[in-house]
Amino acid sequence: MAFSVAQLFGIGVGYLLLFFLVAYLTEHGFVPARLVRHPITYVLSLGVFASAWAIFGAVGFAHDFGYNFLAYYLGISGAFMLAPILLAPILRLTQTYQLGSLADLLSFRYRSPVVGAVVTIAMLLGILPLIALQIQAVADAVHILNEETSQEILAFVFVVLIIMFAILFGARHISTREKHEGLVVAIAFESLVKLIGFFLVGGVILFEVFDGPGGLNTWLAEHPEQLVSLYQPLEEGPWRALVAAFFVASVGMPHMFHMAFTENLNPRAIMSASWGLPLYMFFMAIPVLIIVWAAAKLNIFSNPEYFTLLVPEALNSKWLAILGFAAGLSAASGVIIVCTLSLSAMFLNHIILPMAPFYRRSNLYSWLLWTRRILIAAIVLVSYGFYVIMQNKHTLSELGFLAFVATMQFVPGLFGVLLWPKANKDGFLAGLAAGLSVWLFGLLLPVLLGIQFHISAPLLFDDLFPTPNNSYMVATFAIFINSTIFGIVSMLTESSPAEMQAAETCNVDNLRRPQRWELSIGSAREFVGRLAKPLGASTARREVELALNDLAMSLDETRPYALRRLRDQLESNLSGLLGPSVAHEVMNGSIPYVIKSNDTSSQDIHFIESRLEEYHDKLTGLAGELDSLRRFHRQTLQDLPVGVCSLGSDGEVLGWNSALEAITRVSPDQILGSQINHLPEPWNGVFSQFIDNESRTQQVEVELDGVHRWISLHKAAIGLGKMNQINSGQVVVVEDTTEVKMLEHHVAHNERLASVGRLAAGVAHEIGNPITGIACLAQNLRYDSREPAILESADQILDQTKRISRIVQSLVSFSHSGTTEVAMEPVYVYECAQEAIDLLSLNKEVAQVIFTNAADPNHCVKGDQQRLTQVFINLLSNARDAMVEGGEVKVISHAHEHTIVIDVEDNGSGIPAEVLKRIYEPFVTTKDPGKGTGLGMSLVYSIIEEHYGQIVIQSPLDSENGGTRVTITLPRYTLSAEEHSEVDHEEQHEPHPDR
Amino acid sequence: MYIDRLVLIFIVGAYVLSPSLMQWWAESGTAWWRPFIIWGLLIAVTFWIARSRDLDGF
Repeated sequence: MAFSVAQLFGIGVGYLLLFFLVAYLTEHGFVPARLVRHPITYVLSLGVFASAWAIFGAVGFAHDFGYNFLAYYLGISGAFMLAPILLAPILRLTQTYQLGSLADLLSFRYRSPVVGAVVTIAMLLGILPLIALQIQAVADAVHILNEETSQEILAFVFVVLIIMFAILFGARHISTREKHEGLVVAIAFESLVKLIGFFLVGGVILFEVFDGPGGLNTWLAEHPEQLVSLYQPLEEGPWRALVAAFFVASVGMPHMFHMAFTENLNPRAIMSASWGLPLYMFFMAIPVLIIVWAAAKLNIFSNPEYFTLLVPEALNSKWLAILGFAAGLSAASGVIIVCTLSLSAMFLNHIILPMAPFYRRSNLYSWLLWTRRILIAAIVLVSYGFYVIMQNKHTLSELGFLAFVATMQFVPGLFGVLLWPKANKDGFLAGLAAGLSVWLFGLLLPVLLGIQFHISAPLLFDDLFPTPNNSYMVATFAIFINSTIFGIVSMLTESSPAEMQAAETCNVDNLRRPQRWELSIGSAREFVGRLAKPLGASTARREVELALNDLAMSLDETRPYALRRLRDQLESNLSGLLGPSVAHEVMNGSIPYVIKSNDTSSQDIHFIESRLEEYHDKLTGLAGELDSLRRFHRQTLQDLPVGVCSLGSDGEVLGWNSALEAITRVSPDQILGSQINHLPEPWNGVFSQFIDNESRTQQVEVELDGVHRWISLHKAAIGLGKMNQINSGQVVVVEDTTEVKMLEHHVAHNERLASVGRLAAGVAHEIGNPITGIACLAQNLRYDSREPAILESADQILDQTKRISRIVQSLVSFSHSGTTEVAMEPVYVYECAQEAIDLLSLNKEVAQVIFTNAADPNHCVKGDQQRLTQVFINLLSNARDAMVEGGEVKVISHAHEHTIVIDVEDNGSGIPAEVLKRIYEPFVTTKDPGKGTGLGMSLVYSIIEEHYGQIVIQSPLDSENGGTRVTITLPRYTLSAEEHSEVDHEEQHEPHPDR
Repeated sequence: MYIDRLVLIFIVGAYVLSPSLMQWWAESGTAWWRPFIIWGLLIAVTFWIARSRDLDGF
């Protein structure tokens, strides 16, 4: 069974074109977004881990090293099973600070461009064998299927296609914030192809060679040596080194980092990956042993790494061989593409950019993009060169092991990222150098060049390195020496302040940020000018606008806290574009932070609060309790019914509660983080003056929207530290006392009125006697004289004295109102109204109007008949005075369960609005001077209040015709059964006049 | 990045003790599928844990 070159070329290119098509369709929106972001797509894209090793190398490894082959699957599965606690923190860091690769992460943590550069170079060295492994696997596979073809040429064609794909679909955007959906879906598709392909190969072989699982068990029972060879190598020891290497690969391998973190389209999907990827690897592992045993049964002994192709060939099954080949091609291409993309980004950010003068480039974005594309091509071609140099002398397992041991050297550094804030750059670099040296001299050079070293360490080693049996010991030794040196050097050397800050950012266990970092910049607009120097004007403007957009802020932003956030966001965004080292350098050069040294008062409260809010659901035990307490106190302060504002020692507003927002109409979002003098007027003046003032309390009157308001301010210093000796700022309590002030004014006014009333009553009492005297004298004058002129004068004197008496009488009644007990007896509304009407009808000197008493004669209220009659007299006379001749005044009553409602309605001129507001105040009248005292309505109000009633005036009733309705509500009098019979009895003897 | 130290100790402990697990495999004779059963059970447990809690902080 042999394939022609054309056939193989057609299959290979056809498959890769299908791969291109999937990416193209996704990029152009033909694949639903839900599917693109679905956790299953993420899990399958992580299947990139299953490289050509999984299809070919693992079979050979199982053949040679038995169950050790499972380390490859179990190592990565273990890492992902622990994803929520191991990988999620890294994902959070990479997403927050836009870190696109392991070099980005480590240089961000250790705050050093050197770290980035060293990691990049180490990674390239370590990964070259892995990429070469993929090229070799494809070339070998083709060679097995067609022995005549030159492996190098086919490998080259394959490499060119891969470069095209990586450039077209993996390097479309330069910033890590923009994801390559096409790439993600294509890699997921590729994982699906290799899973189905490999599983089918295993399944078909199981049934073709062994007649199903039963046959396999029978065959194994007959060949117990097969199982012994499976278990035997486990006892030899490489197991732990292998599991550790593949465990670390979840973060250490650039293609895994790229798919798990950089191209993660849905962060929550990492929870699904915690079981999804182990399940995927489970299915990928099952066919391996079946293929190994099938080869044993079919007596295939040569080249065990390619049993996946050789068994189908022995079975003479062409399509099965093609399936195996497609699975291998798929696995190899996926790894090369993703590794290259990741490495190119690392190279650009950590080698090219720190060296290349990219300043003031007008087309920075396209320059970055093209440099990256060139890098992709260069890296793939270098790997191809590496493959050619090796001349097929090494097994896939050897190459894979080299790469995995190299990436293991980043483990101590990662430990420092997540768990050890004391770790520093010097420790990391020293440890890495030691570990890599062991790897280089103990593994890489011996494997590539065939040199063997004799290492002799008393009590530890005395052996020749490497031999197939001790290479895992070199790996263990490399990581041991790396970790030891990392720990010792980190403990002996000091970290820089920037490194300590980065360490705290990464270690969220520690929320302390000892100082508040200040910026020497006043507004968001200034950012553009400062960044124009390193980035060029157009790039600077675009980046500032993007960051402002991310934070929903405007270019006019001036709040210090907001500007600090803007600076952090800009650094994160630039980190996605240029890598963290260069971004940090650019930001530090242009917009440096100023640290206020030894000033414990300037703790960044917003920073601490925002971090606590972010992590509050992860705080457990005492920390959780304390956080609940903090939230309770904060909420108490927030909901306090008085305004509270807390200020830092430099006048920055740290707290602004909702009551204060209601008083000042300035929201916390507007002012938090600003200086207090950024408040709008009139509040700026009020607060600034009060804070500078020595007095601890102050009352101020402010005008807000044309309304005068009274504000009361109190302040106190916030003491921190032992004995409260450190002044950390002030707390200002603000209260709106407008209502209290109004009430005070009202009381004072009423007091004045009451004294006027008392004076008037006293005067009235005193005037009464002389008036009586004058009236008597005027009467006498009438009897004593016959002179018409004198008689007329006497009449006039009498009229005037009567008028004075009337005024005096009302004054006395007014002054007595409220001082005497009100008799609570049954009073018929109809009778009171009728009595008032009868009295008023006697006066013929005024305009004659029609009084209609339509009150129900049965409606009875509780009260004093005399006083209620007085109410009707006042209301009806007011109504009459407001009408012209012939007008009508109506008295109507309605009964409710507990009340009687009486309406006195006229069709007179109505009451002007300004008079209506003050109608119950004494001496308020619309009548001509001398006609009314202005005490009538005031008296009515007092009497109704004494009766526990209510009075409402509606005027005018009609905008055209005027009219007034006075509605009085009085408590209804309910007759008891006894009283009822008494009343009925009386009525029989003395019938009501109107009935 | 709140990592429970107990979990870490457990991971390291399990890693150190893994050779004992290997021995147990090796004793099992013809039951070559035993590691796959353990692996499958681990996946089921992880699936159950992942279902019952959501990822914080995203």
